[in-house]
Amino acid sequence: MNTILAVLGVLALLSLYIAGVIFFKKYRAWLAYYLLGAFGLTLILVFGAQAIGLAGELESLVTWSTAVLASWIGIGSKWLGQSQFMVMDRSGWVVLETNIECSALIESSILAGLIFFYPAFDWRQKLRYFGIGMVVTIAANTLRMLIIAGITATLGRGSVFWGHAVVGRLFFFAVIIALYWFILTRPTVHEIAKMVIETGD
Amino acid sequence: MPIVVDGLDTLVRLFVVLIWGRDHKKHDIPDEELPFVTILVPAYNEEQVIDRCLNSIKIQDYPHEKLEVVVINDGSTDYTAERVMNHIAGEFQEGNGNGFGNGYSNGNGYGNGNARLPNGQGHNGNGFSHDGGDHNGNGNGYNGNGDRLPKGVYSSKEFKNGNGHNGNGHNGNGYNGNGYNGNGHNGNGHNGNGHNGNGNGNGNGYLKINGDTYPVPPFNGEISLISNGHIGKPKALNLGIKHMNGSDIVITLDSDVVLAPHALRNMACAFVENPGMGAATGHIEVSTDILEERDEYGNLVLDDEGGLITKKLTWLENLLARCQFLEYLDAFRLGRQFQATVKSTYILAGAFSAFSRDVLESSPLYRGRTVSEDFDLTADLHRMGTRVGYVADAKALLEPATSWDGLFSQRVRWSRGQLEVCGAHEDMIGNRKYGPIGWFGFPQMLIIDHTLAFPRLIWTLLLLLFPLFGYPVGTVAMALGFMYLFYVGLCFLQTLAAYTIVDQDTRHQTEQALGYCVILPIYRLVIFYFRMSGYLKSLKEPQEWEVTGPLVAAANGVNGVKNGLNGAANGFKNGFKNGFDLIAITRQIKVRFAIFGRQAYHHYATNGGSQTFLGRLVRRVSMAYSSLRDGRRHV
Repeated sequence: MNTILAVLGVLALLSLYIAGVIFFKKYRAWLAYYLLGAFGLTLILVFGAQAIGLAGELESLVTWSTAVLASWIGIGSKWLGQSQFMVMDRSGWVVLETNIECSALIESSILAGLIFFYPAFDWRQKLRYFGIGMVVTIAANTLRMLIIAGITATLGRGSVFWGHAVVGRLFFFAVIIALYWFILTRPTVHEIAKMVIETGD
Repeated sequence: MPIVVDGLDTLVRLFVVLIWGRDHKKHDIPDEELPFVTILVPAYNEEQVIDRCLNSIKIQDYPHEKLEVVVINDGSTDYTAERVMNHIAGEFQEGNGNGFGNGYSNGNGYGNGNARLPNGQGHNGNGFSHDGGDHNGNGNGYNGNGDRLPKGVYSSKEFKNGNGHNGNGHNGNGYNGNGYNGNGHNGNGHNGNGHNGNGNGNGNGYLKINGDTYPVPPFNGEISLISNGHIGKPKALNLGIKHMNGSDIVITLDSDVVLAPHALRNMACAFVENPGMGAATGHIEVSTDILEERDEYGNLVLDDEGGLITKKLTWLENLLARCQFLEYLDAFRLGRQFQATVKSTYILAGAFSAFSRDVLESSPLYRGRTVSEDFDLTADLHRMGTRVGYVADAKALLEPATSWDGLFSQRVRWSRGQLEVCGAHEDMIGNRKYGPIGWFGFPQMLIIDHTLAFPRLIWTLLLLLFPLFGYPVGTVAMALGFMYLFYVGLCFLQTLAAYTIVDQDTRHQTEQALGYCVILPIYRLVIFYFRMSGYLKSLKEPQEWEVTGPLVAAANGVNGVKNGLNGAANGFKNGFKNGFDLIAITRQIKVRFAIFGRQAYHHYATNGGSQTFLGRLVRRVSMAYSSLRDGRRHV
């Protein structure tokens, strides 16, 4: 009974979401359209991935790839299965766990929302920029994890916090901003440039 | 993470400004060495503020003979042109006031001529007033003869010394009636109609700035009016540039702006002291002090001594005004100063900016291809390699937007303009060939305003849902609280830093606004959404100067829904009514049949011819109907 109610509830919310997006687009309320569309799609992807277990698989994949790459570059590392891996520091082993924040799931979902509802792009551009964005996001996330692993291996377990919360996060954020510059801001300026040239003096 | 960018941006700006931006050079250039200045004032439907703007020019401590004011009336449908003519055609001594002259109290209307004549004795300005009538004139319209000011170019040089340009003026008795000052020094007597004249228009020729009252002196410079059809601000400014006389410095001034005392001198001195500077923006400051109390007709409300009264604001208007004050203080005193120091000033404020005449005339001038013609021109000047500066002590005061809808329209326009100008100058972005503006200024502006807007848009809401991802509610609340306090702290830091480098008047205003730092992050968040709306609209909607605000749009939407519901309710009511009418008609049909039946029965049953089959049938049907009828309510 609870499952049925939950499913009905989800369907109702989805219907409201779709109706809202269509309504705002029809009446040209662009901020409401973009905010609802992008934010809604982000939530659908994040919660949907969690519901079908994809979130966990993604965390495992990120963890495994980090462990493998860390080993390749000389950082003592071992994947423990699921979303955990060990990194060797000077005093022993440190176990690190990847959660939803470091799995790139949230950032990928945000990217999808921002791109697919952005009114500047046609569908080809949306797919192209989303593809580029996904590759960069996943690569950046993996690099972030490597940085955290590297800092932990070099400076010990005490550095995990600032390695993750400061250095890793700053690195990832810088890459994401650079990504948004190239797939959102520059193309927007280019589209507006075309409109301004058409308007003339 | 955007807080890292915001924090770093603030710290870098503060460092640069406080180390290199403390420019307190005293300007002591003698009058004879000051350059000639032309001030261009484009105006479109600004009858309520144009007097104030022109008076603020008149009170400047700049030699008037080195000043030329060119007002470009851009096809105003109100009496902007006529008000400017008061400044051109008459000299106003203390107590005469400008503008409406005798105003409504004496029924002399807009009175160009009657500003200096008592009680409508001239033919001018007898019309329009509510109290018109015969006693005070003829009620014949603006110039007595009913015509609006024709299009053309008018100059104060033509209205001097007695009979003036037209003797009897353009429209019979014209603008001056009998010449420059009407019938005497100031019309009829020392101050027109008595000690302080007649009170309206400019409140008896005084100007109030930051609590201080400045009498408006006679103006010995030249004022011209170009009265034209509506061509838009960029073309209006270009028209003004074409008409100006020989001058060294050209200043553009919005007609709703009030120049602070010494603004012109400080601006001109900056050009003399920095000969390499080709253009500069002044310091724009939001001021509630220049808001004037007006009655329902739009006339100034004066106190018992004929002085101006500052408009009282509601709590919301006051809140918006103070937040804008803090915003502009940061944007100009810190922001523009920083940009000027790193040679990447990217907007010369259209409200108050100055140009070397040579530089301006070699530029493409103002273009109408974007809604931010001032920003577009600034980019053009950078292309030409012009050094663009910021003169902190050349101050102009601006009215705040006092409604959310007004703010929305303004910020949407700014966002749109920003993208359009960046689009028009796309090749400059990231291009070292154009110097710091290319490789630093434009990219920095776009990254902070546009690129970072996207993660902000989503993360502002997503953070609230982090408990659903397994994070403790307390942790999320603490993180949000910390972020809010961080931005409040940034605001205090910026405001206090600006406080140390502004003048006394601005310090006083800052002290009054400092407490609003606590709510400034909320204000900035709302403005962020307004700007985001502007970015999206610029992709999908045509250019518009004024945009419907969210509150008006919501109200329209609600009214639409209400009208729809009312329509539906009326439809139901009418439907029911029609339904009941149908029932009534049906009953009528039954009654008719009953009557017919009785008649038929009577014919067949009682007339003897009723033994036919038809007769027996009618009788039986009749009897059956009668028995039914008797058992029910009578129709």
